[in-house]
Amino acid sequence: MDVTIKVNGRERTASVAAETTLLSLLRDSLDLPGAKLGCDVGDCGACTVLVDGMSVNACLMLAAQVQDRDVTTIEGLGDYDHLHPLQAVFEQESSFQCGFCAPGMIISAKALLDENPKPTEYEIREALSGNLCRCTGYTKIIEAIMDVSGQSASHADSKSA
Amino acid sequence: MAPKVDVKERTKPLESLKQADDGPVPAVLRDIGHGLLPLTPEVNKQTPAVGQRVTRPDSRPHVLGKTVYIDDMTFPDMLYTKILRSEYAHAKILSIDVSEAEKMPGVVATLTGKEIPVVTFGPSYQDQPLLADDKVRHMGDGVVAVAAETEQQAQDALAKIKVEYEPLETVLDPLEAMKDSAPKIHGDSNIYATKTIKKGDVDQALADADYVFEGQFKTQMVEHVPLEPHASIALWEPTGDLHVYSSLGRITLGRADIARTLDMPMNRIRVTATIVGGNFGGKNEITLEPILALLAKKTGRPVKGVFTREDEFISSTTRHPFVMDYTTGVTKDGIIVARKVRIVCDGGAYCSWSETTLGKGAILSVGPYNIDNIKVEASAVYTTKTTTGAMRGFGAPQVCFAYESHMDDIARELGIEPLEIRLKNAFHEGSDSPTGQVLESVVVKESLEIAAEKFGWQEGKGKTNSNKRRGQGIACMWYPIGFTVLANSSAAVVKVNEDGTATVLTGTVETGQGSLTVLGQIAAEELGIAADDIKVVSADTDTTPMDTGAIASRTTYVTGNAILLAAKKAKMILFDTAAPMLGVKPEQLEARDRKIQVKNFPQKALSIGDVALQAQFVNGQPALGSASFNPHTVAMDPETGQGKPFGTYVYATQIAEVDVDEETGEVEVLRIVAAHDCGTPINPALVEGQVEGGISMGVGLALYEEMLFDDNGKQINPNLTNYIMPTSLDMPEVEVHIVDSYDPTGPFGAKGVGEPTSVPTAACIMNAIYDAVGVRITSLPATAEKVLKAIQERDQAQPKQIAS
Amino acid sequence: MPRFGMFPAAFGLFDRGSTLKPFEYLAPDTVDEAVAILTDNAPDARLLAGGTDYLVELKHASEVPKVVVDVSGISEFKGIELTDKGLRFGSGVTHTEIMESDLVAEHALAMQEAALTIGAVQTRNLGTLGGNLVTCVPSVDSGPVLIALDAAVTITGSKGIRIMPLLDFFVGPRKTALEPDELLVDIVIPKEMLGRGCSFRKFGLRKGQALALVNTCASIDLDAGKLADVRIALGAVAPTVIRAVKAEKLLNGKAPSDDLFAEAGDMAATEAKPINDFRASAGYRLDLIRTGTKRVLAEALERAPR
Repeated sequence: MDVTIKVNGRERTASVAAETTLLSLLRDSLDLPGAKLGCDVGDCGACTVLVDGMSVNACLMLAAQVQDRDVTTIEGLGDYDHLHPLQAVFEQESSFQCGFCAPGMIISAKALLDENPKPTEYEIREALSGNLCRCTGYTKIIEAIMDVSGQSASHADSKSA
Repeated sequence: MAPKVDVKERTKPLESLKQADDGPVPAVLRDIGHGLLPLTPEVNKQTPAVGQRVTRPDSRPHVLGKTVYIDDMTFPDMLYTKILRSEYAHAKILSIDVSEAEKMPGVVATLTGKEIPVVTFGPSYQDQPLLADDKVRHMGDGVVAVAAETEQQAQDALAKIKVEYEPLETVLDPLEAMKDSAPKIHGDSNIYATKTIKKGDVDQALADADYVFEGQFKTQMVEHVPLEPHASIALWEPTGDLHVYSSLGRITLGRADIARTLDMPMNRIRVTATIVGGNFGGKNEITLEPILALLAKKTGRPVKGVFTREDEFISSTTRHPFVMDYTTGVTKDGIIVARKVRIVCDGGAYCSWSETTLGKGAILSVGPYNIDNIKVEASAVYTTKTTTGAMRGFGAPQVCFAYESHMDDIARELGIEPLEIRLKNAFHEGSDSPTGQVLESVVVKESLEIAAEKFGWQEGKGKTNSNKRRGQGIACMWYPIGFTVLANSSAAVVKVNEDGTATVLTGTVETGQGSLTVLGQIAAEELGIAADDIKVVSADTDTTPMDTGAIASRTTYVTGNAILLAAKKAKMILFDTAAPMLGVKPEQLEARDRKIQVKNFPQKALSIGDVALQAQFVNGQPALGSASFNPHTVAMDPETGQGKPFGTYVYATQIAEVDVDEETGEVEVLRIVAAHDCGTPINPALVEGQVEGGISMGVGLALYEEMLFDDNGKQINPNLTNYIMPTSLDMPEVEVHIVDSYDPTGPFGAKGVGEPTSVPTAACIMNAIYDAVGVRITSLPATAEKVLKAIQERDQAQPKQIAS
Repeated sequence: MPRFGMFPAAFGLFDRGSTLKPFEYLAPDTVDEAVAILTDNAPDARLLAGGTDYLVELKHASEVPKVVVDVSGISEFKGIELTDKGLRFGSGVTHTEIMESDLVAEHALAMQEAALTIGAVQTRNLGTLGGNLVTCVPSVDSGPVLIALDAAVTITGSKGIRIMPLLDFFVGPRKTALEPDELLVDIVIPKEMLGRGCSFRKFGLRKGQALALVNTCASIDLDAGKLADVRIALGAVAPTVIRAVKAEKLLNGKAPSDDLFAEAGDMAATEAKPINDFRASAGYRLDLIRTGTKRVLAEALERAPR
């Protein structure tokens, strides 16, 4: 079947089997490998993208379900010379380590800030609870979101004691 | 000895990111077109490079979603591989029939163990088959590989493979496996490694001690859970060379394994690692690589294999469960005079890194304490469970949980405050380690004091809160850098370019920890240039020099030293070149602020670029250095374990504050204050990141994570739905303090920090639980159910006191 | 060869393949169309709503249905509204919509508490109330609050419309009263139940993305300071959501007290039949029922209009 979606502002069409997931559509047919396959069952959040501004696990949607809808992936947020504020702050604070969770994490953070520009630390934790990260303990990710939303993080950086 | 580096903290230029009116972040659906940051943050251009919170060169691709992991790579005509795994935890393979599978749509080739030239591999013993050919020893053993046009076709074909097994008796408990009556998994005995450490006269000292305490502690099997599953691609070049792209964390040894199993010369094999999506020790072994290579050879097409999340759980390595018995003799003043430790390490179906884990665990099991009389006996045993192997901490989180829980029990019985008893016994500069090594740059007391001060440690503060009770717990640890005795060298090449920038070649792999950033900073520091002036090229066996890889917390220390030495050599060439240009002797020169200058006469200087240009194009001697480094160790005596197994050690303390719900047993970790020694922090931001991440793994080990097996040896929870790792809601607030220390043998005084960060976490949480509700959890994880059961037993043992 | 061996996954050139087995996908716009598709294809058709459970199930299934019917586009299944019957939730309402609804906040706050415990944001954005109920796992998180608030469900099919209490809709683990050609249209919390004191608590193995070990919910009225029409619903402690009727009986007509609530918790535990599994023992689940029941009763009391 043909599926047409608006992805990162561009209309794209692909011919896929009915059972194709949105994640597979993005990664394998539309050349957008930013969203990652980490568990394939909606536990890890590495495949998080926005559909009509709403964060979803792309592994748990069929491509057919996004027909004519607006999809934003990590590739739509910024490019090398023009970083989205979230991308800039995550880079600046070395918030990510292996980076595999980063695309999903940034999209989840964006979905949060789009709705709630000044989230509390709890709201940030709640908003990221669908995005597993094994490297960072989430600490620098949460701090970066506090920072970019104009709030200072709840605890200071380390001191050389 | 290198001069001590003055570590400058940068101030975060985050203000630039914020809106002037402090208003909300603009709605940002597709607002490309506002570069908010200079392309290179100022800090990356500053000298000195060491000690700066330099941003990571891999951060930009990460945040853009442009990092290329294996699964993001495709080659024309590429095939997919899936592995059929064993139906039994222990069985003889009688026959394998792939004929029906080969007829399935899209299937191009199959592979069995018999077709692999050398089917077994392993770092200590070659006891693990790539694909089991005669016997399966746990349910994760692969039996047949299928290559097909699509992943689904390969998957579907697995169901058509017929394997006939003769089931054998399983043994899942390591203590059972040690018995003579237990079924034998390999050879004649299931005990496949033993380690002994002896010092003084432990029996006499125990007899003489004022008090003797005993305790048994157990830990569980846990998974690394890298977010990126194991993945690789194999293809054959037209030259007949094999090229493997792999998520391996150590390519040099990976290539050796691939060459061995394929019976091929190493120079015909190129292993390229990508940025690895998480390692934690779990990607230190080859998995699919030789299988894919053979399937690619059979089919003439590139072949990719990516583990499913279930593969990751059932067939990759895991953390060893330990059973630990402690007997400790103390004086009435709380001085430990003797310690006996017995460790049984559940080694799973294959040895993998068990021998090393056992050795490290045995040495560390005594704790960071001065004890004159010691006896440690440790054994690793085979069971028909998932293979255990290298995992962040190599046995240390297990033994730290035991010795620090034990320590609090001793302190309580003697009426000594937990911090005080640790300070009384802790190592000091020049302490004699359990293996007789004289310890240097020892800061365990400092870490205890800093953590206590920052936490606000005071005995018995604020304990109740409705049905929850609050507690605080402390744990300290020591941890070595590098392999136990064994050579674990690194080599490096540093090239100074004609414009004064430099390129570093290293065979280590970036597995997320930020090693390339740190290594670049070390090279930059030595050359007197900034982090941004360095490019680190890594992880390609054809182009980068050998390296033992991202393992054993060794990269900063060992690879860093190799890079430092290589940079020194390149710098010497620059000095030799600049000396006549400046009319001085080379030894009068120094490299700083991107200049070669005369010491104390900074006005007499040349830019490094000019000197490098001169060296290359006028003198014809390019500024190039290569070097290698291996930590200085002395072999351990096989009888007593005495020797110098490691180049250096780090020390740390963590303090946890928890709330325990007395009616449900639920434990909430509120905060953890960590004071870690890493020598000089080459990049404080990355040190913090390691500590924070290590603590999250520690929290998982303490409270949530456990790989569960049914009676047949089948994993019950091989997925992220039922394997409970911490989410953002489960992580406490973490406060990181870096303890000031300097190791003269490390690059600019640096040691390492990767693994130790998850070592004391479980221990301090268990001590905090005790402090809160007075129950000692002796086996991990401390699930709510386990804690509640202990609380109920406490109440039965002593009538409940009415809490105010 | 391009740098790093990277070839773009050019369209059509390379197909990695799906991790799902082939099926036919249909997306009706109306209930009538959906019923017609189900009637034509029963029993070889299955419904897809949010997909957060069903696609996972399909990925693990050895057999898939011929037709997957995506009902997420059906407008009759949308919306949360106050009608003369009560608070109506279309079956296609997502958990996020429940969390964001002012109507739900005002009339049935515990529904929001329950919604917040379901998966994570991504799951709640897609997952629907109807899907959660139809999946009908013993731990169904939306079930206890709706049962404590005496909700009824509307079912439509080729033979017409049926309305039944949600308690009867749950037949067994992963089994509801739906016939193969039927769909769940809406769920209504009756008017008289709105605004009463109600509290929900879930116990899981961690805070984020937790699956329920035990779900507890209580709703109460106060009649002259005495407890009235108490409803206690427990999830994950029996094949389907149950009401702890003996505990309810114990409470009705009595003045509330901590001791009474504790006694009710003990009584509720005698009514449940939790299982032993790898997540928790039956004994621990009974402990959670005792504690959870006591706590939701106390909180429901705090919330009850006086």
